[in-house]
Amino acid sequence: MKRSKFIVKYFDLIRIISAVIIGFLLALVFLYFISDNPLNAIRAFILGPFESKRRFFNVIELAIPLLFTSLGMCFMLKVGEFNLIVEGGFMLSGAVVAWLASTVLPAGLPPVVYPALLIVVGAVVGAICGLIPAMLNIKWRANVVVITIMLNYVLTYASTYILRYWMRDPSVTYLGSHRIAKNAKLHGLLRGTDLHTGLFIALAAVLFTWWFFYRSTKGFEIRVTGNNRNFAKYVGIRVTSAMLLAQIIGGALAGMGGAVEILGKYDRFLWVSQTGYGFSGLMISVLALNQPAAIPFVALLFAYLQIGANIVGTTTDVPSEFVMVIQAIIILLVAATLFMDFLRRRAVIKISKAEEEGK
Amino acid sequence: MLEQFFTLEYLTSFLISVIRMSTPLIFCALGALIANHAGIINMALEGTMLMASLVAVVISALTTSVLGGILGAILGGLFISLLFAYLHLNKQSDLIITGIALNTFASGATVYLLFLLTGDKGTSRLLQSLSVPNWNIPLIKDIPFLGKVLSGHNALTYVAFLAVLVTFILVFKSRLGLRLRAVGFNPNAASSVGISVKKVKFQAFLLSGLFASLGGAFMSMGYLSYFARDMMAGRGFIGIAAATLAGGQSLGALLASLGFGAANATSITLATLNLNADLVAMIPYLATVIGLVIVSARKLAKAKKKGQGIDF
Repeated sequence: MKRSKFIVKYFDLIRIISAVIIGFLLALVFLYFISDNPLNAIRAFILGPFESKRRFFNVIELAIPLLFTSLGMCFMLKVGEFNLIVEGGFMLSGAVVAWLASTVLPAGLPPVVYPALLIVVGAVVGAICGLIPAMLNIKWRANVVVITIMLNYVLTYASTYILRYWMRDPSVTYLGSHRIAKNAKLHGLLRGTDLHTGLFIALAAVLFTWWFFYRSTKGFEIRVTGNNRNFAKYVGIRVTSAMLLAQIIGGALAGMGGAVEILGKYDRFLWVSQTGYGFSGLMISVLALNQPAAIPFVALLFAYLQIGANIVGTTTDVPSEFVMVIQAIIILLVAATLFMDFLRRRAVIKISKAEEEGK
Repeated sequence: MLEQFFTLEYLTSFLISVIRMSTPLIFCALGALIANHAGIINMALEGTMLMASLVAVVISALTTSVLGGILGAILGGLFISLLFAYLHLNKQSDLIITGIALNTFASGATVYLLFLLTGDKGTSRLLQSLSVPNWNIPLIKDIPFLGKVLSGHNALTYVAFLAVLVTFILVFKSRLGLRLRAVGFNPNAASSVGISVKKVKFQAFLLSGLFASLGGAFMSMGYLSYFARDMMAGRGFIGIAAATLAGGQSLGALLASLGFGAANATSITLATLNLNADLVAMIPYLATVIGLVIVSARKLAKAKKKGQGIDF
């Protein structure tokens, strides 16, 4: 009886943890059957991220951009829009910020003010990226998924355009921008790692998102709009403005993420193709059931899987891409509403039977 | 500089390029169209095509048979479609999340498999895979200008044009098509007259995947002679947009695909002129966005005139 009640109460959590465990076991099976030295590969995947200080902090460093993109996606999903511009907005903001910090603005701007200014610029660029598809969708009902996936390609090429024609450093052999000004960069936190103060900005963004959705009126309106538009309209919420606001903030978070990532981890702008952080953000937000408080944990999990896979990719004979398959499978399981539903059904029947007898 | 565009030779090669670039889009748009008729947005077409084009290359190399390759493509594509159909229909998965996850799945799985088979993560050039032959159409090939444009294309290109007709018959002249449209139009009504909504949607998923698979086969056995990582580059979504533009008509899907194919061909032609490569590469995607917005706006205006569908 107690067990049944537990199952019903924590059903979502049980499902998600089971999905992650299944995904993880599948990863081990993949590694086991493919690698010539399976134990080594499995070890690299599971323990690799903990084996050195640098690797361990790589996980946390990777979680920073993932936090921004998943919070951005959280805003989109909360209002019920699959606005995937987070991917392109992240990249374009990174490019614009790198351009400003490497070629436009004077290098002598004061340290703390400089990156703060740039992060604001990144947020504005991201907000505009979020606004455009939102407008096209609200005004003309254009399918937001297709529009944003197409726009992501446009933004990717816009970024490489900026790189190639506005800020390319001809003195380096590869395609890279001029050096980003020292004062513009985010401060490092720990010697021997690339961890930077962007971590605090990311955590502040988590707090903001939680506060916004659960403590502010606008956030409440967005949640209601996402749950049931007709109901939202009936109780007097301005649905279109809620939709716009959510997608603007979502884009802004992605833009901040791009800026923080560039200013925290790079000396030059080097991205020539989509980073994939936007799509990871979507998956993280889905897996966290759009709960801002759960997002940091899932983001860490994704970062851990990715770093583990990277280690497998560089130290063994298995390509790191297997982790994409694993992540996709976890999402497929979680998105399947009826996955493990038998458990819940059985528990509900047990409880109602017991109540019947109790009468 | 621009004069060279107006020579007959240039026009011929441009039109050939349009037809070539349109082929995968036609297949994909038809697949999307069939799904749309049954009330499904098949967001996994990109992944379906990608998986199809890898399996096509692998099977054609293993069996040293072109037909084997095409069957392989269908197998690979149907695998994704079947998975999608099962998850959506039996496990009540969200169409968009599942579609996007399946695209990620296909993107990762193809690179993974490619590496296992060839040791290369970029292309399948190490595999001795075959290409679908080009066909010269008798009689037509002898017409002076048209012959050059219309004849000598990849066999799958002609299959694509044929598929437009097949889709038309399938959707508008067959029992299955009638059921498909009934289910898409009003599932409750369809179910009340004894149509199994689930079964019909399942068939729609499979047909949709079948058409997209052929598009995938064209990409790795015609457009290129090998598989390359993420080689669809958004074509699955351009196909979905083309189907939306078509408003349910297969001829419309053909025209929309040719339009987007033309945008693609323009982009390639301009790139050879030393124009700015990054800006030129945006053309097909911008064209898709603009086309989609215009058609959506017109649809909305029509609905408003009728006094319906204004609200979200």
